[in-house]
Amino acid sequence: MTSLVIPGDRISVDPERPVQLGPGMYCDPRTQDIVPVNAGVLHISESKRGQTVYVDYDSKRYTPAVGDLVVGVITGAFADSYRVSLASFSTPVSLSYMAFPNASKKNRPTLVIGDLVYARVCTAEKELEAEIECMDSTTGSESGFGLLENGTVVEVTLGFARHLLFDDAFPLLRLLAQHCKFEIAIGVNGKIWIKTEEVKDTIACYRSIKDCCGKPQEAFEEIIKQHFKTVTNTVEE
Amino acid sequence: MAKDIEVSTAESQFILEALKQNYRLDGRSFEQFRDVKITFGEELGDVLVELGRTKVHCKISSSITEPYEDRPFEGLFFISTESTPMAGPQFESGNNTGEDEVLISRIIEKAVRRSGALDIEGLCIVAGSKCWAVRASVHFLDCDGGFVDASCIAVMTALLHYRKPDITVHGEKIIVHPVDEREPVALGILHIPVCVTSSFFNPVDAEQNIKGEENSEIVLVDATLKEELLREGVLTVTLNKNREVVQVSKAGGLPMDAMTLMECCHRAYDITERITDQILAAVKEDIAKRDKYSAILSSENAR
Repeated sequence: MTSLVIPGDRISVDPERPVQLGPGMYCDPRTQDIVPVNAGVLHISESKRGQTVYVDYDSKRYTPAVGDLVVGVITGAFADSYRVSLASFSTPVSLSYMAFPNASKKNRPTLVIGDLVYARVCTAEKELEAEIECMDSTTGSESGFGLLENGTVVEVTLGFARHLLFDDAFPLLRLLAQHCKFEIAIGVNGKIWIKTEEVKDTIACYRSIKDCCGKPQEAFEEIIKQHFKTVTNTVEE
Repeated sequence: MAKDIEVSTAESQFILEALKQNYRLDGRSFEQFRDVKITFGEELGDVLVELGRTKVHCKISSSITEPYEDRPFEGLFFISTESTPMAGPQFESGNNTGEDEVLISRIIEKAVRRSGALDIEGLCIVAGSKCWAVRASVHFLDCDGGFVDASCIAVMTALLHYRKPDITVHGEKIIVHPVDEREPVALGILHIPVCVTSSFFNPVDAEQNIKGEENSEIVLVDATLKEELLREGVLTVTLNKNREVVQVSKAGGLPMDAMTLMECCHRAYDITERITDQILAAVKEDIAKRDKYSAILSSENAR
């Protein structure tokens, strides 16, 4: 069941069964009322232990949550960890030297300041610095995480990034793929890393992603076609 | 808390590589100035200038005060620039002492006030005792680069748009007529300076740039915020429509030769000419819209 909610709306859940709260929801400790704290689409789904309630909302500020896949910039290196920025002007997170595949005391990662990394948030407590890791901690393998070489970063809203990453029916990537080959890493912190073989293709992808953000899905095809046409024309001039 | 916008190495390398291949991220050509949008507020001298995503607001106000003792025949003119976190988190609230902020306000001050764009002798009412004090308050509302250019346009448009109340002088006594009683009068504008900022990028290494024979710097007009963060040199030229160079400001950065400077000035002149016309047209249109009485008062007839 989905519906549009705004902060403070009354929502109906079965009071008899346990409720799990996701992002955008708040439980008043005194009255035990469940209220949304963000404007967006309300999702109530049945899970094994009861009901799950969350609000899917669009925003620009990112707050780390466990399990999020993120793109970050290394901003500092310490004795046993890197400092990574997931969004400008927000609290940095830390990336331990041990959070890499095959890490040991002797085998240190070789990232430098300014490098981009693809990582997963592993701890995110309210009062503590969040931590990210560059490996799949269940298997210890690389699983696509780690340094992102070359390419560029597109900054989009968080809702758009989530759609791009989780929504299999979202047409953007498929449409881009019709025009060029590319490598992509989507961070739910609103940063999308993209790399193609040629600068002009990257430019076209950059502009397309930027322009498609906030537009209806039907318009994507035309926008992308237009941008690829423009970059090809610039070369010929 | 981080105080800077973090740009990764990959991204800066990419932007430079794209520039080498003649591409700008936003699809403009190198010497293309962003479109300027001028909106007027309800009051006279209240202007909002948009340059792409950059937004600058300027409001003119005036009061009657005593002139400086050593300049009894001149009125006062101040420009105050204020940047708040509203423009972007890189600006601190109540702290306008950052290098960039000071530089911006100095350049605007030099371009408009020190170039004598406003006739301050015309602000004198009674020599040595009474004069007009005109204040231009500039507020930065949104930042996507090009603050100097946008605020210069904003200040000049606002000055052209502003009307101060009419006054009558009877010896030492002066009467200020309310706006609804007598048509307010325009300020004396002697010329319209327009700032055009060019940014320099170095596609080769630093040594080649100093010692090398060829000039391979990439010159961009009207950089966006990202380009501003990565540029290696900046040059602001202020010109007016009479082909007069009001100021040239280049504070450090990449060394450049005289020919590049000349090219920048020529390029800036075309932009200046276009923007001056746009400012004048916008002001004229808005003033005409406010003028309700001229049709009644005019003696013009169909004949």
